[in-house]
Amino acid sequence: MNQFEHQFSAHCETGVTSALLKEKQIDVTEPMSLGIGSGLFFIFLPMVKVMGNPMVSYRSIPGSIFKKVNKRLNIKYSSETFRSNQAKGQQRLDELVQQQKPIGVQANIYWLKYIPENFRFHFNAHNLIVVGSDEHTYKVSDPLLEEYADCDKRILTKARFSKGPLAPKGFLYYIDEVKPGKQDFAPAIYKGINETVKRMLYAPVPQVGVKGIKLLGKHVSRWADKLPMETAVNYLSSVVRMQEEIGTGGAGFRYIYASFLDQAAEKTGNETLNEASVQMEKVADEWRAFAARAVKACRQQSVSQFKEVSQNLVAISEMEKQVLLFLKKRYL
Amino acid sequence: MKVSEVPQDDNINYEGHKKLRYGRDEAGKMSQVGSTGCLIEEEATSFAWQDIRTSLGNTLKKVHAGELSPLAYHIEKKLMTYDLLASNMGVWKWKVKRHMRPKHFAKLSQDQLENYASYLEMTSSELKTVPEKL
Repeated sequence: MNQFEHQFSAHCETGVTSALLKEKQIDVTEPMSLGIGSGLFFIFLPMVKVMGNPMVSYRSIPGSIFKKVNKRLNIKYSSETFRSNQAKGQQRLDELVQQQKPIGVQANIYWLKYIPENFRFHFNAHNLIVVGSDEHTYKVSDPLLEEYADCDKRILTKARFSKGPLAPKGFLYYIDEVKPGKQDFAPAIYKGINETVKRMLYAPVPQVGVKGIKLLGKHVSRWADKLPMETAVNYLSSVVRMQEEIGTGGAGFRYIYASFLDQAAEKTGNETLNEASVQMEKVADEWRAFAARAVKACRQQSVSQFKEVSQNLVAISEMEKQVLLFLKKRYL
Repeated sequence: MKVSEVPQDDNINYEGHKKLRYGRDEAGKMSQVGSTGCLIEEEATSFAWQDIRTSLGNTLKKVHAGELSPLAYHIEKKLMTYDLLASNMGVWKWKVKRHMRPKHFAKLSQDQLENYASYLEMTSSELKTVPEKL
């Protein structure tokens, strides 16, 4: 019998992926799952509004990291959805948990009372692991917490069947039996980096990758010129929240990615990845500095500071491009 | 960022919890650090909540003035919109929108009230009242 261990993580999906694999004796850390699963990303969609603010995301689409990590390490997993059938969805989860399997589930974070109140918004793509249950309660391992938590069954079911953008439809997933020691990390790491580099550098649209960062820069300057100051403040502070508040390990996953490159260097013995790690850490520091300036610009409601922040983003775009080009030339 | 530079700013929103962040340790490896908060993040969060509170305050005024029903206030209080609530409850959007008007809200049956209250995690009598001020 494998022993599941709760794992405190920076981000929900990478944390869940890592914890589920470790239970199967496969040593995939949180940074490894971000890297192999090509989770590092950037997209800015000014026309799409999320809670009233333009959509910015520093990661790839929810669900993709778990899938890609398993595919690239040749691990079989199962997943199920239940449309709107809540009773069936809850019954199936109970059944699986009874078999002593840790089960990943997708849920709306708003209804999960163990999460600090000010971080609870209607976001449907939060991930956590259910590890046990009694009549009315699940024992859950939520990667954002330091410890296990209890969650009312009725509440979790409600959260698993929440509607709206990214509706989970009761989505649950688990790893099937695997043979430890049969995973080849080097090609998986290569594929993970390859996809990230290609997507970030050569996206065919201006909203994605390093071009997307530059586009955000242009828009920040435009917000200050054309929008009421209140709206501009909301937009810019929302960018900072997407980067720092919602479990990214800081700087919109760039620090975790630096950690991934570090660990990848160790696993593959490739020195280039060490260098790339240090460069990525510098990029992350710049993102952090941008966040500090952005918040200050919001506090002081200063158009000229918005302009400076806009320039910061253009510079970060160039810096990140150089790191990715370095990886492309020296590693890929 | 070095491990020692990872912010430990006691963000009040963490409610005593920590968030995991990453920094470079003395051996040159990126490692995990539990962080009690980051001022930059805290301030960004507070902008969002200020905005929510301002808008909720305006809605509350409209409820007191008889322009909107208490349902409108409670939907917003739960950070929802009428269309999100409608799709979650499997009812028509225009119906929920209509029930945000006092005239129609007053005509709701006890069952309908219970339905709304149950999704919003409150009792039907709570649903019918709003606070004096935020």
